[in-house]
Amino acid sequence: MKKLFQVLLSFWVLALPSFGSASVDVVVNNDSGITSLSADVVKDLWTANSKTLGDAKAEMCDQAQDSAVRAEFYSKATGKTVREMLALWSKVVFTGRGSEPRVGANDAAVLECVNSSKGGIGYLPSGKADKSVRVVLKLP
Amino acid sequence: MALSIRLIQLLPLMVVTGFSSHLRADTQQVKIRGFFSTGVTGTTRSDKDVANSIGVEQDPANLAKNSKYHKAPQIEKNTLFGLNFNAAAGDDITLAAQMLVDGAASDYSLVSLDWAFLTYQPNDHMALRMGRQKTPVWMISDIVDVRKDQLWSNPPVEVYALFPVKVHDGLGATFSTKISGVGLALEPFFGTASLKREYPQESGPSSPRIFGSSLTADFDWVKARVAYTKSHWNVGPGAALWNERKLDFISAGFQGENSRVVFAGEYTTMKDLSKSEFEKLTNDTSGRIDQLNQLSKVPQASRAAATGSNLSDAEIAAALGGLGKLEELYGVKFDGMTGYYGALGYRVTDRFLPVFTYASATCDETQKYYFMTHKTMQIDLGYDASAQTNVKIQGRQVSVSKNRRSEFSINEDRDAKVNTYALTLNTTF
Repeated sequence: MKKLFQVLLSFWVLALPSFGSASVDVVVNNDSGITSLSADVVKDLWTANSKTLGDAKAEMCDQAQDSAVRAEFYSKATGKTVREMLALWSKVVFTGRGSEPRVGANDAAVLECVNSSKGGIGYLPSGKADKSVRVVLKLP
Repeated sequence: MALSIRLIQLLPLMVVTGFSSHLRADTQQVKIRGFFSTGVTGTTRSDKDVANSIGVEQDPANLAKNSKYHKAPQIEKNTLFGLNFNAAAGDDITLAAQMLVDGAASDYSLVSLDWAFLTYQPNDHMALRMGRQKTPVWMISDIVDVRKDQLWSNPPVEVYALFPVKVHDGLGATFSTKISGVGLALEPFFGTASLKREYPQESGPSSPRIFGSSLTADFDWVKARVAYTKSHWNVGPGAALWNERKLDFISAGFQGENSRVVFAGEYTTMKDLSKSEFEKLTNDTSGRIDQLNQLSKVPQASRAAATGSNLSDAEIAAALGGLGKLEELYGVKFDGMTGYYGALGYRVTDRFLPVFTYASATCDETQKYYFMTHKTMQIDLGYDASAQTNVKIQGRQVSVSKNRRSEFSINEDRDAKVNTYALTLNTTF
């Protein structure tokens, strides 16, 4: 009985990270001059209500469509699921009101995307940002 | 004025050809997206029963050919392909265009320019658009008729066929702000409506001049919109039904969606501000019908003494009959036409979305023939195969009132029920 309890406990401990949600860092281009952003600004950008970041045109960079960090970011920044966000951007694109964020296949690609323009903005799993970008918002 | 209207009509071409050459190679990137829908549609109604379409007399055989719903399953009529182009010319200017290949369109308009416009957006609170663009009169103006992967594969005709203006060539703007967390967007528009998709034949009405505005309130997961549109139609002399019409059109709708529940509703009504041809013809005998009706109530024997009129019962009946016939033929007004629907869906798992929709269209009792009066119950079941692809099954029962002609009429002498179905595969790329 004790052994069974120990096995169950070890499974529970191993499973703990999956119960909690990972935090996400929002990052911008170092040249943007922006040191911090509110959650509302990030939400407006990703829900197509805003197109500017500081004094530059925003270039949003998404993670891969099936990545966990994308779902996490959408949930925390916009309160929407990946499917809802795809539907939202589909409407924006097919009405000529804008073009959807660029997609980076992995963290390195997102960093590259953010660095490619002054208005670059993206998100990474917490702690994955390097010095080439600036963390301006932490979504716990 | 004629020159300016002509210029407005030329704007889409100017937008596509002229401005595209000014796109700066160092800053722009043309993004191409597209969508494709195909499947079958059908109806329980015999093609012989097709009586008339809305407002325009047509040869039943021609209408049957053009109708989307046939006894035999139709694939071509339910097939749609769209290509969408989006390019930036600097930070503030974008060019967008959408081409359509629509199997439901007539042969010579199979390929069409759905819209093409230039947007100047100097900041997040203002955008100015020039060219052919969607007219923002409804909640789903942006996607009606083209995006079958959205809530319905075929939206309720009771609302979206009432006022056939969906695209206009001209100007549009968006002024947006946020008040207490609620996003507000005012979208005025002005131009000439394009009716090629609705009336591909020469017999259709001319392109009306329109202007108006919509106001949208965005409560995050619920949106509400009201719109007011003024329109001026002119087919020219000889076309008794339309000729010159000044129609006001009002719409109000809402739409909401969260991770589980989806709902939408819209109400529309039309007001005819112009005189009917009958009113014009009988202008010099204004009140003549009322006068004759009053006379008919007075016994013929005492009529002369009581009213000073020597008209006999037979003469009054003949006059009333003649005027009645004239009114029937030329008294058409577009008044009292209303339509609404309510739709509710609930996501079952992440993939299935059943949606129930109830819709109704009515017109004033005085409108005898030309406008739809029917009620519809419809069930749509959507299955998301992937983020880009879904399948939609639609079943619909339309209850058509007698003495009315519409897309779903069977026989004008009796009430009827018409069932339609559609199975549609939709994908975006």
